[in-house]
Amino acid sequence: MREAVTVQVGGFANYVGSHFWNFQDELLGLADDPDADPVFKNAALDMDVLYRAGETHQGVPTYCPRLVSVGSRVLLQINSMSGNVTRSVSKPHGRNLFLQSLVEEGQNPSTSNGGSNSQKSVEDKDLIECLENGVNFWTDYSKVQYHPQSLYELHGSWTDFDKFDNYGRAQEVVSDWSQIEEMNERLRFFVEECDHIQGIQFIVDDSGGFSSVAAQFLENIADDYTNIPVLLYCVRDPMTLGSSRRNQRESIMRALHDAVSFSKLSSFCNLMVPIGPPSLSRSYMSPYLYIQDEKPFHASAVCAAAIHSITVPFRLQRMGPSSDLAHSSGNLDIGELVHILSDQGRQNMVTALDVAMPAPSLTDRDAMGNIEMKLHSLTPEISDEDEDPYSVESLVVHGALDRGGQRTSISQVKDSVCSVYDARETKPKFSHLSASLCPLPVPLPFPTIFRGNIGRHGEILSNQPEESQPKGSVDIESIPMVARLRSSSAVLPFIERRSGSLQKHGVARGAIGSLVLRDWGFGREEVEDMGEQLAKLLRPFHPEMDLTSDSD
Amino acid sequence: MSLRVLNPNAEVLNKSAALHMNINAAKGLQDVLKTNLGPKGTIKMLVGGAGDIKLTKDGNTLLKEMQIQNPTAIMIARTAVAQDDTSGDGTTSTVLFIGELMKQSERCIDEGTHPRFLVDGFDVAKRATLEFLEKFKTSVVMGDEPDREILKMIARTTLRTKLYEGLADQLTDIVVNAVLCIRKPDEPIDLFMVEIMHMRHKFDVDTRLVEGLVLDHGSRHPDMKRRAENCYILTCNVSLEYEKSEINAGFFYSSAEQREKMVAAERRQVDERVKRIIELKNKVCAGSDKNFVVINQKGIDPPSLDLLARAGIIGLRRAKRRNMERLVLACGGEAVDSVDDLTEDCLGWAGLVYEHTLGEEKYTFIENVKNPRSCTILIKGPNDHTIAQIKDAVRDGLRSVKNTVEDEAVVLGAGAFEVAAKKHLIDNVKKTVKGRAQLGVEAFAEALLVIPKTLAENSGLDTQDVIVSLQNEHDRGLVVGLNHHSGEPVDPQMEGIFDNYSVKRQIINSGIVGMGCVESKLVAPIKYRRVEKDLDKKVAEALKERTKSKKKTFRSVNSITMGLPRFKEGLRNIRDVFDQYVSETADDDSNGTIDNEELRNCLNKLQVQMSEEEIDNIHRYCDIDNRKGIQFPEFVVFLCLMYLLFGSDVTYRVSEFESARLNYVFDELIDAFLFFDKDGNGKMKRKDVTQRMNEATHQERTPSHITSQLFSTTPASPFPVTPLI
Repeated sequence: MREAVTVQVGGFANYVGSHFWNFQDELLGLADDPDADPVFKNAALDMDVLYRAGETHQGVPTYCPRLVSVGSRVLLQINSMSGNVTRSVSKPHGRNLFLQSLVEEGQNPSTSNGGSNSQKSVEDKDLIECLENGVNFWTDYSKVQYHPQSLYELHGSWTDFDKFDNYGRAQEVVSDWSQIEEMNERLRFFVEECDHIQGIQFIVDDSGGFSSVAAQFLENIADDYTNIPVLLYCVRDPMTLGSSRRNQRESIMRALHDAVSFSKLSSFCNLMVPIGPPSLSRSYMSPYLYIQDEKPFHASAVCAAAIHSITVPFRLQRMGPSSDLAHSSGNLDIGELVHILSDQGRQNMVTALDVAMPAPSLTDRDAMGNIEMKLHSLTPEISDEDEDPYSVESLVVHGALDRGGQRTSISQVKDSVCSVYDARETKPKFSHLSASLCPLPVPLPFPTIFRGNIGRHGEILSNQPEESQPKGSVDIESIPMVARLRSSSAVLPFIERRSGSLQKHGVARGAIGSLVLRDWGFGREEVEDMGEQLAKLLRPFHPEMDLTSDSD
Repeated sequence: MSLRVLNPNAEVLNKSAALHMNINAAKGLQDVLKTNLGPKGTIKMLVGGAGDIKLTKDGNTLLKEMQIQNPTAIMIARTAVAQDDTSGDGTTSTVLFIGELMKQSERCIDEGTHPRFLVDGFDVAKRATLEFLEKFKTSVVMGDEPDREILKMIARTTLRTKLYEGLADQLTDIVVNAVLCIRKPDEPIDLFMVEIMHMRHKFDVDTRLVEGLVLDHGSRHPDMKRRAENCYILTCNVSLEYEKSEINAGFFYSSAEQREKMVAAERRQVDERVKRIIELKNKVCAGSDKNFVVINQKGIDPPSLDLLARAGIIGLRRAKRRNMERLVLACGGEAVDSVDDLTEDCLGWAGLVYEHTLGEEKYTFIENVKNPRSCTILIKGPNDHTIAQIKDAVRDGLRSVKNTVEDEAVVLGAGAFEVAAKKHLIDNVKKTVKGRAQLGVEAFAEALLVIPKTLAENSGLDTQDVIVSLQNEHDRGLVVGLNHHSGEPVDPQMEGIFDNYSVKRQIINSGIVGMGCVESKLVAPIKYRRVEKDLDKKVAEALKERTKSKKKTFRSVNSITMGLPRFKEGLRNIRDVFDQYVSETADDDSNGTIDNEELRNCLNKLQVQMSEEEIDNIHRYCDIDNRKGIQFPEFVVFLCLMYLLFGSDVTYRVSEFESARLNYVFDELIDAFLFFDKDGNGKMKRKDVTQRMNEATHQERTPSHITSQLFSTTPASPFPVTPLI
């Protein structure tokens, strides 16, 4: 067993994380539940990878995520505009119905199981509806017990976290030595107790000032834990990308923010996965999913599901090549994954994430290349072309079903994936497959985003109209998932755009953005360094650039 | 109004409004922090959105926790916090001083002094005070062995303002000993070498100084000793865990055996390193009862821990980077990066190493070190807010001791310095200044007294009595401070009340900010949110009504200009009405303004039905210059507004006799306004005015720059009243 530590920084990252840990909690619950699908019981997902066992001061044993979550604090409001101060206003946010029910359940666990089934499902419906309508914070739908060291709130006396929307906003927080130190302390607490840490997975909301905080944090991690690989997911709320009306200054700020945070974050991690399509509601997934972009509750659920799938191989049991393949195959740890994707072939460390949610039935011989067709990218701004002979991929299939809605065995999964890849015209240079029987469980606080044509176990029903009422966790227990990390030339536009905007707005002589960058605390040299970093990321795709840069 | 040309979205306050906004902000902050000052100051309890509690008396903490929005207040708060960053104390005093300086200036400005003179006076006074401080300070010779008593007095003075006496006195020794422990002659003191650890355990009085280090982690092997005496300490940064090298990543082996072999080969290297350490241990500890502790910055994996445990070595992994440096300072030896050439010289020494477990948290104490150059203050407390409170206090205490050691001087406390400085300014400095700048010196001197005043106020004493008796003593040539128990003058030297020299200097220097606030009266491009949207709408409607119902009185700008004397006459009448009316009915506390409460009464008497919210809005609406309360010119606006909204009954109720004349004046005013407000939306826009101006007959067309100037004198009110008054 090799431990992984998770770090979440920023608003949307915590939304995603909250869903992610709900999945894990659900898996833990299902493994203990005698009535649950046996798939979950012997699914061989090792939860100790993500969780730690400990005990409280009173000696009560606990089992908590190995997690450091960084968010912003809702500060005391003191209005000193009128001159007459002293009245502080700060309204505690009430618990919603869902959290109340969790508290009650904790108090008398016997009744919640004993209640009649019909009554309970009605209650569940209420809870789900309450969540659909009123999720304001990521904690509103979290059902996981966190370790007290896990949650850290940033505070800046004069930093307005409501307007924490670009890289420069976090200056005060980042320069506050004690806060950065405290975050390192929290992380050290979890790392110190790991016997064999396999890596750190880092989820950051890079749409605002938190990417600056994360960059600082990552830099410290790179300094302190030199050999521990860091897998970075940059997640974004679709709404922050929706750029309808903006004046020129704002759009330049936006472009610069993207470039700066991309350059900074990429320089301190080993593998980077940008997630956050501009709109999920209009994406290819819409035949199966009904997602409202304006709700971070919805969008984050999809991101979390994808991240869950990516982490499945880290938790599969390690087996020799000769051992049996009943439950899983293709174990990887974070270091190996990073190595596969970023150290081979092109040596490109920015990868695209594709996901099929729910996964199509695998043994569908009629539609060859079904998986390929159904995998859709969650990474924004990438090209649709997928004909890169140098690409390297890691594919994860878990809980796949066949046409009749039965679980397919691991060998079947392997066969069908192989046949799909054989049929492809340009094959990737290297592809790794991880498979597990265990599907993605749908926990109660999961949003109601499935369309009517999804069955109880995530099978796609062809006879049902997709327009009927959206389904949620009451109707659907689990869904099969396919996710893929792809290091190919598809991400080229993503990098080029950032590099381009930095050159255009920041580096070029007399550029408008150079003032903005100075405001954010970057000197000329630092800006050039960032440009250099972006050029370095582009280099794998343009071997000829290497020659020119060597010559001078 | 060039600013408007540059940025049409900028909202600009005119000069007196901006000045008063600055002054109000300073006063507001002062109000919040006032009760914190001194040993008798009160503790504030801050409750966060999630219900978390923070108890503090520390001005610095308070300023950081408050969400301040007013830009001037932010500027002052930042100065105060910067004060804390540089000298560790005096945040509250800074805020109080700036606030008081503002109050004094407000008085002078209201009396008609130009801010420029005040600022000149401040400048002179500031320099004179700094010079005086040089003379006033008490020098302390540090030498090789600093005077412990003086340091204790300084620390006590600081700590007692933050914590209750018993605890403060206990911490005094801890703080002084800690600083003396890390002090090296002729080198600046690095307070980072004092580690502050906290444990949620026992009580606040169990806080103690550990001459050595406390690490917040323990060994991770069940067989390692929990307590060891006479220990060699090896501080190292060597990876003692098996890491796969890049080449062997997972998928290049073809059989299980091959894999095992590769793993074994990798493993050997790590074991080799562990063996080196064990060899050293055997060399130095052979045949004695000495023990061996390895503290590693990198990881140690279970097989390595196992090897170490079998050899009787205690191993700690992933030590804090900061602690590596401290360990060497505390125990001696040096931090090693490789195990290749280990000798006994690399090792440090500690008399006692033991582990303490609290739930799942482990602490390792390294004590009885030989020659400590680093130490740890272990804060204990039953709950988080007690710990946080002690932590802040300890930090300030450490800084004050450090400052004293570095300044080699202290200043008599308990308000003695401020009273003496005031006397000096008034008696000696004021005469040297010519003209009205004297007022500035006087204001500065007066503002200095805020410290003894507040001390007295917080102790429940009568401020004036105290100040008078203190000043009397000073006049007799005695330097005295305030005894906050009895209110009698005392000699601070006898009581051992000393302040930091550098802190005092900073506070006086911070007066600059005050000067900035007074001076920066013109430009304040602040975006104001207008809360009074609803009212705006109402006014616009009422105006529309009027436009429909009545015939236009004015046809050209000229006719308005002609009417000006008439307005003036009418307004003079209103002045009388105001004086009379206000002193009788509205202005209960007779300060010449109407505040919110009084406005309510007033509206009641006018028998006007309005909701609470609307009343608030009206008050804000009419308070054009942002001084608190409604003064006469604003009262006119208020009345006119009431007249517009509720008809002639209002004026009748104000004054039966003047009603008719008032109505006439108001009618004229509103019509004049309507004349300009062409699109009838209740706002007088530049466009409207310019257009109207130029609509006049072609001979008398006004040059455009004049029209725009005319417009700029109109404040944000929808009424053209104020420029006329």
